[in-house]
Amino acid sequence: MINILSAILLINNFQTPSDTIFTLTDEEVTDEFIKNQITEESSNITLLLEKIEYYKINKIDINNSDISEIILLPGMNNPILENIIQIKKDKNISRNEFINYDPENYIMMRFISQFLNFESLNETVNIKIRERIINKSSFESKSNSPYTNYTKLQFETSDYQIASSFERDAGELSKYGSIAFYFQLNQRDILNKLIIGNYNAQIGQGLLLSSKSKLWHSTSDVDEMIKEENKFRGTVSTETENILKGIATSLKYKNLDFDLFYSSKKLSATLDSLGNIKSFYDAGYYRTETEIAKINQLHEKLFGIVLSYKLFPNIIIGTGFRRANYTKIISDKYLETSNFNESIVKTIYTNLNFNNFKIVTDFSGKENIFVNKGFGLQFLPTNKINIVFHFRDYSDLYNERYVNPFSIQSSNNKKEVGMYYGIEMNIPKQFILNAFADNYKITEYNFIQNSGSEIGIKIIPKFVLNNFFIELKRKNNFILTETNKNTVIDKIRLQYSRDYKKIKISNKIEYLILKSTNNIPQKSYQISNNINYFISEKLKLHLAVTIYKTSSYESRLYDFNSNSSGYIYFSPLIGDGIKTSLVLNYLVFEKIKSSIRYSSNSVYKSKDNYSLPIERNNELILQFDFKNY
Amino acid sequence: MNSVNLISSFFLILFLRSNLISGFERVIIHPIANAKSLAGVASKKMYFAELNPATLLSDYQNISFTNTPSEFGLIELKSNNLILNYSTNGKIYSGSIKKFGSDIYNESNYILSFSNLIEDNIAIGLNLNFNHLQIINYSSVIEPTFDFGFVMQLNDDVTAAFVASNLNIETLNKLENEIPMIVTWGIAYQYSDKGELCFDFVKSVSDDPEIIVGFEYEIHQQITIMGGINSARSFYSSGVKINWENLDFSFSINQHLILGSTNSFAISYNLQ
Repeated sequence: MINILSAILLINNFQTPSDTIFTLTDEEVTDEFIKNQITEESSNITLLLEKIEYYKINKIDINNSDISEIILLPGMNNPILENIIQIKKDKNISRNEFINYDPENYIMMRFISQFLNFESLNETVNIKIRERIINKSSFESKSNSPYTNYTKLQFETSDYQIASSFERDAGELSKYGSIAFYFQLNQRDILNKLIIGNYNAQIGQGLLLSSKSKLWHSTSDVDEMIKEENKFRGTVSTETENILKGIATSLKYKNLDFDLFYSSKKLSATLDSLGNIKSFYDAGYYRTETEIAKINQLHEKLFGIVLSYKLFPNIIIGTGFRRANYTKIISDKYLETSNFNESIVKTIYTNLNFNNFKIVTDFSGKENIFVNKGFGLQFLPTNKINIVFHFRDYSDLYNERYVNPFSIQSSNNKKEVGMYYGIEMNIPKQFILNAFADNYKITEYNFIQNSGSEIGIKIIPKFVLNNFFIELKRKNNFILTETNKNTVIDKIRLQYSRDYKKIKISNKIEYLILKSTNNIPQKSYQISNNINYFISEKLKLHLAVTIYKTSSYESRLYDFNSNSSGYIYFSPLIGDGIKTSLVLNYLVFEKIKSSIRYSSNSVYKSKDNYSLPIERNNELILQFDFKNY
Repeated sequence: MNSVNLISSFFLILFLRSNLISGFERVIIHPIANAKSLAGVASKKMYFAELNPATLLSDYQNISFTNTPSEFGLIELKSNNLILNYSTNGKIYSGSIKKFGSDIYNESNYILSFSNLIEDNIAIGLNLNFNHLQIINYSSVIEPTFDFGFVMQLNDDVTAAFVASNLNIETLNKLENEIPMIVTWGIAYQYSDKGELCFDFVKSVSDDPEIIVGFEYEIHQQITIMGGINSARSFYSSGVKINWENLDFSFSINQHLILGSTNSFAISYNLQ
């Protein structure tokens, strides 16, 4: 029951909108959940979204599942879990009955219900279709279409899922649009899962060797730090750099898991005069001749095997390897060797899961398997305290720490050592405290050393307001160069949200001070308001306004964008500006949700003594979502 | 008009181009607002759609006429403003006509406004503004702009508001002459039945934020005094309102540190 205890501490800011007209769709409920859970601009948003997407497809049967499976669902907390334990006693509950089981926790019950199967789906095929058209003022096309198109189709039954998407950016010819597809077969006999098409992969706990960056440092993710992950996930993401294309399968026989994957895809890149790869091109735009010249310059083949064995009910050990091959020599500036065209990385990992603590270890390396080390510990002394510790020591180039070596271009470090500490407390009951600290030392490819620390504390003073929190964060970074630059960033955030009968509001104020050696302190702030107005059962209006003033790129802040259903991301705020967005949702024929979103970002950036004109970026998005259920 | 049509019309107009080439800044509205240096987007004591289209006042019916004979002492910059407010079932419909300028240069604002009390303690409002600029023998242009307002009761004594003015800001290159998009946050504290204290924070792109503080106090059943200060525009202001049966007479003086003073007068007839 260790996981139950850990879940108790998950922070949940939702109110009890007992009289609200609930026209919220599943995706809107999901967006609301993420907005309330994630307050940091770190990469974990993608991970959480992926996890949500995963469980939406790989639903858990409420009647025939174990609590240990249910506890892994995103956003699970103690009241919901207690509800589910009660509900499981009463077999064959419908989704509607489930959602309305606990009016106090309506939104969370609704959110969790997306991941549960209430009835057999054998007889039905669920179909989802999405069409999305985007027009941006910043893009002016003379020849090709000025619109970006995105289409997604999805069919799912309890046995399999088929999904595909197509995206063509404004200015591109259709033949340069990106296509994503996957077919996923669910559990049958010894086959745990089979995916053909696009997927994400990870080996071990994901501390090392994942297809995406996994490590983050935030107050929001203490609990998420150590959980058993799923090794392969089908995806229709059009970010071609981060995905694998091919086949992945998981087999399970008694205590043994056997995973096998193969991926073959082409990458876009710029070549040097010798025909070697100079740099990778990951923008995904193929509008001009120069951009088109970069398309599909390199063939990447990945192959991997993973074996894991459950020694005892609480102990898992695993081993595996990944091999990457390239058709051309890569002389990327971040590589220490100029002839990178093959790489084999081996890994070994363990997972110990006891009553009130859990330990995970991951090791990997090319020659020496202990070159990269990841270690995680989660400890729950009482049901109101959750402590997490994570240690990392990587000596390989960043390329060797990912399943697909060139997926993360921004990381260029050669060696990284760091420790992360996190704690969540609910003592006394009147407030929740969530804190973390991270120490790190990074040696970059050109021997520049970066060392520093990051600390953060988030307090929810329930005795003041239940739906209000304060977050304080400090980042201290020291770069060992000739000038020995030291930078300290202090940040404070106040956030307040509240649900009324027909209106939901969310407000945020953020203030940042950056102090660095020999420079005047830089100050930045942002104030944002979000208003959701449920005009009728079919009609909803959303207005968001953010003003910001940030001094430089280093002192930038981030704004959370909900860019129509299913699209949420953080965008950096740089300059002096106002961002607005207006979204109108209307439900047509009970099955089609149509939405129109107009947004503008007016920003002024001063440059030396010149007064630059105010930049205005307007965007119009039309989106239609069809569901047959 | 049902809500779908209303919203569709709203979006339709939102995409209309707005290339007004003048600075329709809010300088003069009504002596009651002027006297507080234009603080009070969250006020429960007054309602001017130009300040905030939304209001928590549910019963508010009046007609006002304002005269400013010479802004900053310049007789060329005179303005007149006619405002009509009509309320029913928690909804307020408002219209105003404002003329500003001289014989050769005229700015006119026509505002149609709607405020809806959604819950007992929340209101949202929309303004549709038609801004007309005329320079005799040179040019004449009329442009629609939109404002959105939101106000809520935080607790028994405190209200908070948020206003986005000129939502459909234009992207033409005549940048220096655009109407600024302004976002305002405000808090009003009703410290007693007789008075109110307002704090507003106003920001537009590329300008420093303004912080405005305003107050009003009813010193006598028929006499209310007001005052205000604006951090960015160097405004100090004060005013008085005198009530006589259904009529309110009000006067304000705004003192700019450099440009001088502006006096405004108004007469209002309460329809309740």
